[in-house]
Amino acid sequence: MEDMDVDMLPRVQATYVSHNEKFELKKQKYKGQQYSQLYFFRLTFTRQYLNPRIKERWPSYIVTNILGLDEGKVCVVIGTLYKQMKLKPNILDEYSKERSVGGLVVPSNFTDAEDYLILEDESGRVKLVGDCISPAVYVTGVVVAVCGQPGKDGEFLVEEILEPGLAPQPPLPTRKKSESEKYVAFVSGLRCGGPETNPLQVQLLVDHLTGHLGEEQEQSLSAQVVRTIIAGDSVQLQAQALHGQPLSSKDQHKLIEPIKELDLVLTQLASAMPVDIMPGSKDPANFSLPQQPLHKCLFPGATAYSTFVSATNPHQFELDGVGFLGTSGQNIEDLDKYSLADDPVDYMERTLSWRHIAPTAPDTLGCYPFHDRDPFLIEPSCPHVYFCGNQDKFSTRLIRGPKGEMVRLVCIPRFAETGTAVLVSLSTLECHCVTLSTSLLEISSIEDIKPDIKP
Amino acid sequence: MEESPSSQVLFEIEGLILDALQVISYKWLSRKFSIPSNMAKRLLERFVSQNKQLDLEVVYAVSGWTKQEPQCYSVQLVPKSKLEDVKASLKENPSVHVYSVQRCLPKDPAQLWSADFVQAVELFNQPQDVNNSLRDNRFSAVSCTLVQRSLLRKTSGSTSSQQQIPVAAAKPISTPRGPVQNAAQPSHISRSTTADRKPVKSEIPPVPPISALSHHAKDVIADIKPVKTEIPSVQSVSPQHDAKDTALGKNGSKIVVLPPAGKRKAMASVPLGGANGGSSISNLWGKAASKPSATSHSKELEPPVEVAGDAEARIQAMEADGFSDEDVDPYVSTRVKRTAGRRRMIVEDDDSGNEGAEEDEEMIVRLGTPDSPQDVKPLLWNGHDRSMVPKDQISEVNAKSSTLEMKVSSNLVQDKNGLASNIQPAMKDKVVQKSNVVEQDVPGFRAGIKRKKVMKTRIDEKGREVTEVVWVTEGEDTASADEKPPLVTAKPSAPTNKESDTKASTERTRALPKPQPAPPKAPASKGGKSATKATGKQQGSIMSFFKKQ
Repeated sequence: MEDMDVDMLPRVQATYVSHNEKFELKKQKYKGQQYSQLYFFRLTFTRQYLNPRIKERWPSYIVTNILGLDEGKVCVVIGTLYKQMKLKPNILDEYSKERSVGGLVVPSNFTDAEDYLILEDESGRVKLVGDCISPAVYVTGVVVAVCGQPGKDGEFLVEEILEPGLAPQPPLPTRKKSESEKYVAFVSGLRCGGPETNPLQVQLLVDHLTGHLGEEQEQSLSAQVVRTIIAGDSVQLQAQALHGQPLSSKDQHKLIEPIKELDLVLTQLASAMPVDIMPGSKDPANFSLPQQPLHKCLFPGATAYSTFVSATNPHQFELDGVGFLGTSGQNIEDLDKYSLADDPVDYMERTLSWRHIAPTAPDTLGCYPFHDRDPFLIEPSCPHVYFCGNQDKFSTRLIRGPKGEMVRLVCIPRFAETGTAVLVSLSTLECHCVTLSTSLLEISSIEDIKPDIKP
Repeated sequence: MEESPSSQVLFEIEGLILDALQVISYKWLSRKFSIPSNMAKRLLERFVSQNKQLDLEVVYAVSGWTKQEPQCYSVQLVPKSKLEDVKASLKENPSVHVYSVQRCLPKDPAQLWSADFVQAVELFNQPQDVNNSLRDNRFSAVSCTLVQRSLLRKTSGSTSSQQQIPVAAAKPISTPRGPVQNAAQPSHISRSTTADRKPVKSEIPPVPPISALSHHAKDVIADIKPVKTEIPSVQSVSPQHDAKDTALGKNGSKIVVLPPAGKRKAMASVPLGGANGGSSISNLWGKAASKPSATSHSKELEPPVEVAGDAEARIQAMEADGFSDEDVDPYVSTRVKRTAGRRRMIVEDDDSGNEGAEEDEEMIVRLGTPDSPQDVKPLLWNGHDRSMVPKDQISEVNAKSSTLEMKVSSNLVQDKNGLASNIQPAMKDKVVQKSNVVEQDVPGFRAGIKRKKVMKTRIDEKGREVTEVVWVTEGEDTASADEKPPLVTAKPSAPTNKESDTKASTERTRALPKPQPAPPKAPASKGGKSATKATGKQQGSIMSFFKKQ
């Protein structure tokens, strides 16, 4: 019986600072603002970042605007890219008379070999040509500087392209020897209440993180987790219950049940550790970025805890001086539709280099019409950990900038499909997965061993 | 000797698994017998080793670092048959413990979860001020000092009384767990202090688990918090009441006793109110008017032109401040009807979530609160001490209040105006003017205080969105207006209107003084119901009136 006497392991803590102010919409107004201001701010701010880099790279060339281009004279132009895409869906197509001409299958990626880039600034636009610029990599809304010379027919022959590059980054705080290792847990796509979701898997995750599961060695690992970030798509609502009619109480019940289940999960987590929940594309939140925090009334149980934070998407915060920035995946998902890459981590790396986490907003990604700022610019500093939720599989990369910047990129897989959560170390930015699996309990997997199961 | 309690638990487990065919997971066991989950794991392990002959299915939780790169920490639930394979796939020293024991492996792994889930939901649904093992994670092996739980009521119109809730509510939460747990489960190593542990250890033999065994799931609560003896009674109360408890929960367990009493009152007064409301309306309108039924009007108003004429006549009469009962009647009946329709809609909404009932209770409980000896309310409910008001009076006023949706009536005037304008466009202006007058007269009644109707949306404790139509007095603090149940503010204006309308009616003036001494708090739906009742007959006649146009 003595061995039943177990010490409570104290959970490691880290100071948390939220930097979500810029994503918060205190007063939403839709009084006919256009998105032009958003682009204007994006161009203006990114130009500030680009100018010093241009001076460094091309000290001898003049920087001009598109209207001031002289044919045959090499110069540098800063502008916003627009990608002309043949396959890009157009709302007007729905009204075209030759409706049947288009294919019935909607492609998941709209890139095409014939796509080309156009550079725009306040004064005009010019088509970019040249081998060094690959339209498949860029998307509409990215601000870059191009060096080249104007050709005939209003084209611009690009010789080199310059991106804003990584934002300056404060050095990663070093861990004192005496301090314990600290981890942040990321999970996304819990999809509580979904028909294909395995609730046992979610419960295992909760039990693991809260320190119930496993022997002491495992529990000491979970005691090192300082915070859990839930990056979107936490519930799967029965959308078919919504049909524009008043709901019957039965349907209301159906609709609310997944949220109650999630609240129970969150309550268990919040009673054991700090939890941030971000809204995702399938959550009951606003559609357009930045998504505002899930309303606390959805989680009457978890809201009672000081450790429960309902955050915006994107979510930016700091833990013990380590900067975190991430989304629930909409920005990367959209990039995946309008550009090409082998791995979602590539998209993430590009957005870091573009210094903008969602360049396709507002073009193809829903976005609030900001008139005083562009909150998606990565400023003032580059995060140490840049995460993205709801990806198909886990992938990660550590990128190092020229000035010693270090950024951990993490693609968080959907938990409901993979049973995987991701832990990132605060001190080393090392990253590993935690997989929780119940698949060995499936009847099919044990049938061969024990075919005759007694009732 | 120290084996006795645990062996009893083991015996109990055996019964549950073999007879009830239940899945016993370590977590369920830990919550059921109020022991830390690590201890529950050991118990299950012992149970398995002692009952090898029973041919039980054991599910293990195996976790460790995977051998292949990239390194990954893997947690798996594994049946006994595959245990060795899985262990071999992990790096040395994997952590293995019994996750659950059952008679046979379920087809769907999620079944392992459902028993835990049901238990967790039970704990989760306990009144908010109860601190249970789900809410403080006390059986985990990892403690987190950051966690603080505070009960903040999230209703929008936070009143003075509500604002005090968090402060008071902090009490039950912060009550030390040590003693509680000691009572429930001496062998439990509580968070409280390490110093406690030694005596605890020596105490291991004591009975608690056994006592827990003899009870059923509900009593887990009692085990966890034996201090709060009232809790079981709370549990027996209807679900709406749980919400109510939380609303009142500022004194923690003390107030918990209240709701039943409140409920009794509610039960008693709701039907009463309904009946009285109905009768009072018929009293008011039926007796006041010499020809109460609308059928008589439909006869009167048969020719369409006369409708307009009638409206004009009525307006003139009102302007002259001396119109007859007959003139008022159409107003009355239409107003009542409309109001009833309105209310009915809202009531329907409410019913879908038992909202109406809940509000009924809430308000009546508030009325009743001064009865409670330990109550702090008198302070909080300054000036709302209405328990003294006779019930029938309250309900009567209620009934009246429901008929007094000013806007509706004025709309009606405009409706009629629309009808009339087809026939006599010239009338229009006057009618509109008049309707405006009707609308403004009422708000202006009390020393020029303006009232307006406002849609208020708030979120109740159950997370539902409740939209209410509230009369707000301009100039007053909106919060204070919000604090009162919607109809309370509406009520005073009700008699007012009639007063200005109908000085001639002695019946009505007699009825008037009542609300003023006691502007009552009474449920919205009640008034609505009574109004509906009263107008039941008249509805048809009004329709016929319009048909004849």
